[in-house]
Formats: sequence, structure tokens, C-alpha cells
Amino acid sequence: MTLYTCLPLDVVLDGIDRAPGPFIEVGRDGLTMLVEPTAPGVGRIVRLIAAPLDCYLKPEFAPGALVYYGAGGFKEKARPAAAESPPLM
Amino acid sequence: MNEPPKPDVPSETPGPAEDQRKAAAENLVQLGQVNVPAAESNIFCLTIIGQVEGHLMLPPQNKTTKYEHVLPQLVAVEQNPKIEGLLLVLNTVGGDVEAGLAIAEMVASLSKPKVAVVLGGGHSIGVPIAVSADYTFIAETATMTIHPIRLNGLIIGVPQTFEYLDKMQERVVRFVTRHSNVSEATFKDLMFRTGELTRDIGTNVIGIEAVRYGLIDAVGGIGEALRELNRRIAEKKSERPEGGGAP
Repeated sequence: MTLYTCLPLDVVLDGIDRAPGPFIEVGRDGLTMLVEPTAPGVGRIVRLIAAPLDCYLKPEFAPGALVYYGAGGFKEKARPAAAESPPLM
Repeated sequence: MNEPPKPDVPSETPGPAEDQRKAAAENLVQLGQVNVPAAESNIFCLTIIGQVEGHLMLPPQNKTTKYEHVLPQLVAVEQNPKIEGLLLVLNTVGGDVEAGLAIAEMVASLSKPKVAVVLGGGHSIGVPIAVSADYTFIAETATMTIHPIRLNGLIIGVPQTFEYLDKMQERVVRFVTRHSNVSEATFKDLMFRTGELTRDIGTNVIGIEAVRYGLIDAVGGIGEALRELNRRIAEKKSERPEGGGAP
């Protein structure tokens, strides 16, 4: 990775050693996303793993948007271990 | 005398308002979100903010633009017939070279009209992203920092390291000079100039200076950018015969 930024690197990379997450994968017919739970059944979208193209144009599926995956036919697919190393995006 | 106007459309056909209501209800049921879908626009606005995040997730104090979301977004823009133009809004401090160049290359290869506007700043890897559009604007007070690329992490002190660094830099220089009116000599002069930046070598070009060097096409804001984009969309439509459809 080569960072080409005008910000000091120590500011940008401060806290890089702390693993993010834990994340969970939730999905429903054709849509799978990585979510960071913030409350039971509620999470913040980290990224869409697989989704119809039109979903990428909708702000409700943008990374950082809150999603209520406890309802609406969503299924929790996997729960990676919390001690896992930071995922490469 | 004053009869109410008769509706032209039969009442059983659902109108766009009805579609929007349905979409909002679906959002509420499926996602638990209550944001009402906005009126459909023929322009997609893509914002490049903060750090352009690449293969590594940056710590949460960074505001980031995630390339894994932007790349499919650009594919969707190209593929969606309702979208006729792309407005690129930049206020970025740079970021990952690979991710930034990937976004820039994808924007440049879109067949639909695209206009970029730099507000605040379009620094470092923001420069190739800004110049990737067909026509570019910069706000009067916006700045662009042009400086050399540095290597991060473990560096082996051999000549090949510097050759590699030079190759990485050449990718950026080549893209910028190919997609703007700045010459390679001028861009490299800006990149390696000393005495301009307090903590680095390079140059900080502000508003009109970016236009004078040929990096950006004009000074302007959102109004000018949208006017130019709409003009280009209309121009493209007039080139294509009505009902001809996409090739």
C-alpha cells in the first residue's frame, strides 16, 4: 500500500494496530453486506459484499448507513472471531 | 366556466409519486430506514471526501471514500439508462495510490458526460481523480497540493527501491498529463519545487493558479459545473438520433 496524502502519516495511521470490528455478514436474496453491529439487530454497513448494481446507487446502502437487520428477512451468515486480524479491504 | 382540468393519465396507472411511496414503505419494512427516496435525477453525484481508502482499512478517525463501493457505483452509472451524466465533487486529502488511480481510470473511461468540481481541496491522489473528468472546475479558494510520493513501511536501502518509487510516481504524472493541459515538465516542476511547502517539497496551487498551469479547466462552483454538465448531456443527446438507443 502506498499512501499519497498531504496529511502526516502518523495522524492517518494512528490506531492502525487496533483491529476493527467485530463484523457480521448479513444477507437476503442476492444482497450480502458486512455490518458492524451497534445494537441488537442494528448495525452500520461496512461494505456491500455482493449486491445488485442498483444498490450501489442508493444512499441507504452506502457504507456508514444504519441498517436494521433484525427484521426484513435478513439472515446472519457468519460471525468472524473478534480476535481475527484486521481484514484487508 | 372554471372546470377543473381533467387528468390525462388514467387513474389506475400508478404515477411516480405512488412509486416513491411504495419505495419508502419497502425501505421501512426491509431495512428499517425511513429516508424518503428523492426525486429522480438524470445526474449522479459522486463525492470523493477525506482519505481515499485502499486495500487496508484506515483507523476510524479518518473520513474515507471506500473504493470497493465507488468502483461498482461507477459501473452502475455507466449501465443505468436513467443516469445521463456524472458530477464529481472533490474535497480530499489524498490516499491510496492504487485505489485513487483505479477510480480516476474508471471515471475517465465512462462514456457518459462527466464534470468535476474541486471544493476545499483536491490534494495528492485527488489530483488525478479531479482531472479524470471531461471538464473540471475549481472553487476560487480551493487548493491542490502536488508533491512527491513517499514509500510507507519497511524500506530496503537499495537503488531498486528508488526506481520503484519513481515508477509509482510516473503513473500519477502520466495520468495527470494525459488528462489535463499541464505539461510533464510543468507538473514535475510543481511536484519537486522547494520553498513552497513548510514541511514538504512540492507546491500548493490555489484556484486560478491551477487553471493557469493547465491542471483544471476553469474556476467555478456547483452552479457552473451543473450548467456545463447539462450542456454536455444535451449535446450528447443531440448527436444521437431520437429513439436510436444505446449501441
